[in-house]
Amino acid sequence: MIKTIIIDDEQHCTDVVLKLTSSYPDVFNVLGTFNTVEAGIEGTKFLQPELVFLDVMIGNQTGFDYLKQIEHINFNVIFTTAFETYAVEAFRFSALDYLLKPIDKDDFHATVLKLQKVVETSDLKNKIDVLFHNLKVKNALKRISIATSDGYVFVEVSDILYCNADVNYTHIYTKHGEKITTSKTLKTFDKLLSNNHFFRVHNSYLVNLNYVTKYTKGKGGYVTMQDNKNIDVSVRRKEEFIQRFIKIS
Amino acid sequence: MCLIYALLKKSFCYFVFIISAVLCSQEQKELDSLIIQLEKQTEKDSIRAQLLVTTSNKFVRKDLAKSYELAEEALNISTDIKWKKGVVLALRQMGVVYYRQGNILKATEQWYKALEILKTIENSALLESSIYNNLANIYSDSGEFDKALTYYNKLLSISEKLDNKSSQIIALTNIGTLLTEREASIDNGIESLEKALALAKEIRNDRYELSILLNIGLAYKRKRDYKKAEFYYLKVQGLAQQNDDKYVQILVFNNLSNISILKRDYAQGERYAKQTLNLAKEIGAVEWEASAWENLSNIYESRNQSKKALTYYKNHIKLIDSFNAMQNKEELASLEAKHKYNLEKQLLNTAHEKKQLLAEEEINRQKLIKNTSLLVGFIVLVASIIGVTLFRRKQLAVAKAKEIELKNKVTDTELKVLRAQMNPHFIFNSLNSINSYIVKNDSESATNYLTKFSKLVRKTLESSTEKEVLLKDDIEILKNYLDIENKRLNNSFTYSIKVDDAIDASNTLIPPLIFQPFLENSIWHGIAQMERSGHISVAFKKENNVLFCVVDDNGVGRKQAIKVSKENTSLGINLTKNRIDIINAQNKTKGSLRIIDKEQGVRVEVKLPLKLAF
Repeated sequence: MIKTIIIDDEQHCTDVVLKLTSSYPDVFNVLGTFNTVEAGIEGTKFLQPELVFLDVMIGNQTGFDYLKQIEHINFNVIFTTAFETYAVEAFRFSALDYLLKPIDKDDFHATVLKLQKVVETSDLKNKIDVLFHNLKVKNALKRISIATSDGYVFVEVSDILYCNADVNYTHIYTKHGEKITTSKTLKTFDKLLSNNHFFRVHNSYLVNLNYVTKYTKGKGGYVTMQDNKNIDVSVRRKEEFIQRFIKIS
Repeated sequence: MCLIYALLKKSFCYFVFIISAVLCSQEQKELDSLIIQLEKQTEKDSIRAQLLVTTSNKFVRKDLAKSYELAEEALNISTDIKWKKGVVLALRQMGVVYYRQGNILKATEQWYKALEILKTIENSALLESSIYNNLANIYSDSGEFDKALTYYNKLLSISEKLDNKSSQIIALTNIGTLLTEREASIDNGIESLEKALALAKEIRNDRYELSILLNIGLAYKRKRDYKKAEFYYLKVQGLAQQNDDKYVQILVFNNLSNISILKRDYAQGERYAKQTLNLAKEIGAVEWEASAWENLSNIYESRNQSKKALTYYKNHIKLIDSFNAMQNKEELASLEAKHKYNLEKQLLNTAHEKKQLLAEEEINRQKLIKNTSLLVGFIVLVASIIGVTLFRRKQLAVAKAKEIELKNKVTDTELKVLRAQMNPHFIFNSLNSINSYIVKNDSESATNYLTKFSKLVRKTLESSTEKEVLLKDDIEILKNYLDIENKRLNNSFTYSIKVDDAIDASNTLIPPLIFQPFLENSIWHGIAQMERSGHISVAFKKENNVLFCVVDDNGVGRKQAIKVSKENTSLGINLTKNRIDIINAQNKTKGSLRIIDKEQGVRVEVKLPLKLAF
């Protein structure tokens, strides 16, 4: 049984989460529901929950305001939001869980399955750090949480040289010479990073345009990265690549 | 290359200058007295309309916006009092204003409207030939010299018959100008211009004299007789200043700047270019502003100050772009459609003998439209060649400008698509269904339905901001859509979506939700009307470089559907047609759409260019 609280300023949203949790009586033990940030903080101190369903917009404050005021976050957080694009992007970067309202039964089920796995509290703290960091800084300075076989790695986006797809895995190469392997697909990173100077030059390569040192012409041509690695540019991506590349340099 | 470009534009505007002179062929009253007369003549009658046109023409050289305003009022008055000739005069004047603004398409549109109305007026030979004269200017711009010459000669012979001196001058000047455009006939051209000059002096018309001198100057410039050219230009400059004709002053300064550059007198060239720039800014003549920046850029490049040259060149490209943007293809297409429509309307109304005349005219019209688009194309081509041959960064400026233009077009369509995808019909039907579950107290179904519905809305909103999505993702959304509709219809149909093995759905790009309107039609006009359960099959195949998509249903078919429901269902289909047309135009492909009525149900075949992501 997971000790759970719900923080949401709209009663009907709270009701929906209550309804959904009630269909998993063996999993959730809902201790309380709160409709302001202040009440949520008090409730958290008092009830010591293991899981918080946290709304993003709470009155004129946010769920982030709530988290900032908790000294030791030793519980899991699942954000709930309707359409705050910036927040959803931030969750994706930090690999924090979120549910989109109105909450779909199947999505909720997937979340329940995830919750039953063991969560490292240190990872959670780092993820939330990444979240706060990204909410503060501009695009290029963002950090990203990457799930690996033994926990999470937290990387500055501007440290990534390129990503390489390997069937269902992705290898991420950083400028410090590290190689990080994750079970997320390259497409996931493409979606996440395409607004941050990253470009998919090839079906299996996503490169950080800031580290492309040279482009050599050819049918599609190839790029040379800062670590001297040559990466082919797909013929169909050539034109767009050149446009993006020139825009940056 | 730059020089050719500049010359082309130049000659084009000399013609304009002449045309506008046609319009005030009656009398030479001063602008002030015209304005006073206008103030007195407040009655909305033909006298005021005539006055407005005359005054508008005076303003063409000083204030294009004001000129347009006056012509528009003249058009409104003439339309109200059903004075056809006034309508024609006003339209002709509006055309001239558009032409001055560099908007060829709009200009021709006005002139063709005028010609259509003229067909119903007797004794209008001179008026008609004056409009043909205007159109001939466009012919000569697009290189159809013989045709232009024919129209000019028509004007000449009619005006000689009627002994109308000013029309003779116009015809002679335009013929002369045209002839001087070709190396072989330059001297003949100058001869013709001299004739016109003599006539202009005879009737003491400064304005005609101005334009003729200007053209003679250009002819000598073309002959590389710079000394003589400069002599004529300086003469024009004096005359233009006397008449406060800023437009002509711009032309003169620009040409003098060109000549100075050719003579490698860069200091002088810069002075003249700056004068051009100031005046062009003052009266808002975009293409001349652009030309001045180009000259400045050339001057600084010759002085090896490439940074400044680049900045000026960027200014040039920016202005050229805004000039070109006005004349995009879509406008051309709609213009063509409008003409066709008007023509058909008139064909019905007029007697049989007029038919042939109209048909002939339509051929001319279409040729003209073709030529105009060729001209626009040529300008774009020349602009990009300059970009390529000059240093690389200039290329970037051109690409950027083009990108913005294209983006605007695409955004426009995206918006329309977005609206159609979020078909209000669909939204409210869905909300109705949810409501009915709530009324029936079936909260389980209601919440299931609602969350599926909101997922679809979210995905649709996301994908409609993309120009292209992966086939795989698009199919997901289609499935989601079909599931929702099926739920609402109590599972009254089954569906299958098949993708041929030759297609890699996760590496194939298609425009988002392009098939959704067909599914919607199949469901609501095919299957929903049926008693028994239906089936929709969607299949994607590959044929050479074409993505071949078939949507098949076994519903009641289109004829039956129209009987059962009287709603207009073609909006979604039309929109899809438009999208395919735009894709074709952008990529020079041959996508197509075919709707086939089967014995049982409807089959839709869509062919799209097969586009891979990588």
